[in-house]
Amino acid sequence: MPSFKSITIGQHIPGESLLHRLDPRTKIIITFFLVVGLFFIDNFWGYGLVALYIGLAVLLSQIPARFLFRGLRPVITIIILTFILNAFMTEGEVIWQWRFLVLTKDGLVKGGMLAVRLILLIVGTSILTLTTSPIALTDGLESLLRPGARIGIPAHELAMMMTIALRFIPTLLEEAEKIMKAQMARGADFESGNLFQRAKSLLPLLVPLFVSAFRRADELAVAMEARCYRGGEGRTKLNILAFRWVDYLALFGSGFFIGWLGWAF
Amino acid sequence: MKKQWDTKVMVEVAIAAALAMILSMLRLFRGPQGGSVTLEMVPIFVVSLRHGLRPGLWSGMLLGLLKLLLGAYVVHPVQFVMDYPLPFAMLGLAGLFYKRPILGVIIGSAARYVVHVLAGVIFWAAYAPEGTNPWIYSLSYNASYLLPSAILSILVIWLLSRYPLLRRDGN
Repeated sequence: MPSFKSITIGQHIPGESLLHRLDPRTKIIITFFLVVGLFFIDNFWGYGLVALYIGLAVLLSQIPARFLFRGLRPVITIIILTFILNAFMTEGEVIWQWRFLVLTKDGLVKGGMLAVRLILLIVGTSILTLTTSPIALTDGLESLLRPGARIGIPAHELAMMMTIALRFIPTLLEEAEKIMKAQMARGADFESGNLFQRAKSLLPLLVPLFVSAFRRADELAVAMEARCYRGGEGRTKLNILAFRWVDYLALFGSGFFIGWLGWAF
Repeated sequence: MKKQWDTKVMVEVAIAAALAMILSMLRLFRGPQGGSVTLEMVPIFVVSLRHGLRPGLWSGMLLGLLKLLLGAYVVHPVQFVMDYPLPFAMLGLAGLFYKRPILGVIIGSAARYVVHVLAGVIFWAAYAPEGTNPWIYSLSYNASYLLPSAILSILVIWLLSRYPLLRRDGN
């Protein structure tokens, strides 16, 4: 049933912890290291150390564990499937057999390892989105992409569009709700019929929504140009990202640790 | 210095991505394994048809990035690019066919499908045991939600084509 109720936008949980206050660039780079590093590790000792590292990050972030596990829920089938497929389809020392089902020791180890890797990847990356607001992430991304401006990556424009989009998601959501209620008051039916009838019934929602969204876009563009907006060149910022000593510490500490793990395990 | 971006187009690209994000939350049908049927592609197609290829590509990419920032599943260093910014950017290909919107929607959706399938194959190559065929799974899983979504998008774009909304730089 189409409904805008119970929608939460993003995962960010505001806070004042050490991890929340790290520079977004630091967190983006470390997360990238982690994602790549996990693919170089292929034994349980390595994964154990990564789990400890992620556990430490969770402690420092002061985020309740249930938020981390909530992120795992939608992918639990994939994790279980990965484990089962590998456990039964890898050749090796047979420990259990029933007709065509052959469980091997090597399969169990491989399946377990891949499942652990998936869990670590998902929990590890969700720490980034849990502790960093989308706007901070956008700022960080812009700053990291800025050197790419020379080869044609429009870092500023991209960040500006992200910021506008993030700013307008709640506004448009409210608008969509209003239009929906207004059309329902006129007798529109959004909830019955098959998929096609429902898609067609969404048209009285979509048309006003598009028209008003594009009108807003037009107004915003006029307002921006009236204030002499002319792209990224020479534009200044209210909040300038600056690395502090904890950022260097986190960056080099994590970099060396993950690098060492990838090399040693 | 010549300005690279027209402010109005840039803002529209951004707002279309925001609209797409909202529509992606409005699930018409949820598939058994996470893929859901939504109208999220429609705003990207609308921008592509209104303003052409480049704004369309950016709008799609923006949608992918929004999804990433608002919490995504990163399970592989290549998969996250191939599952988020890239497939949605492909929708912008519709901008090449602004005179034939339906064809544009079909090409855009097909291109998105191809990228998702490749992403699925890369993912399964890393996680599934040898001997399973990742292509069959990826082809069918991605078709299960993309095909109905694409058909709905075609329907909606066709219905919308009566309005000046889809016209080049119309209002």
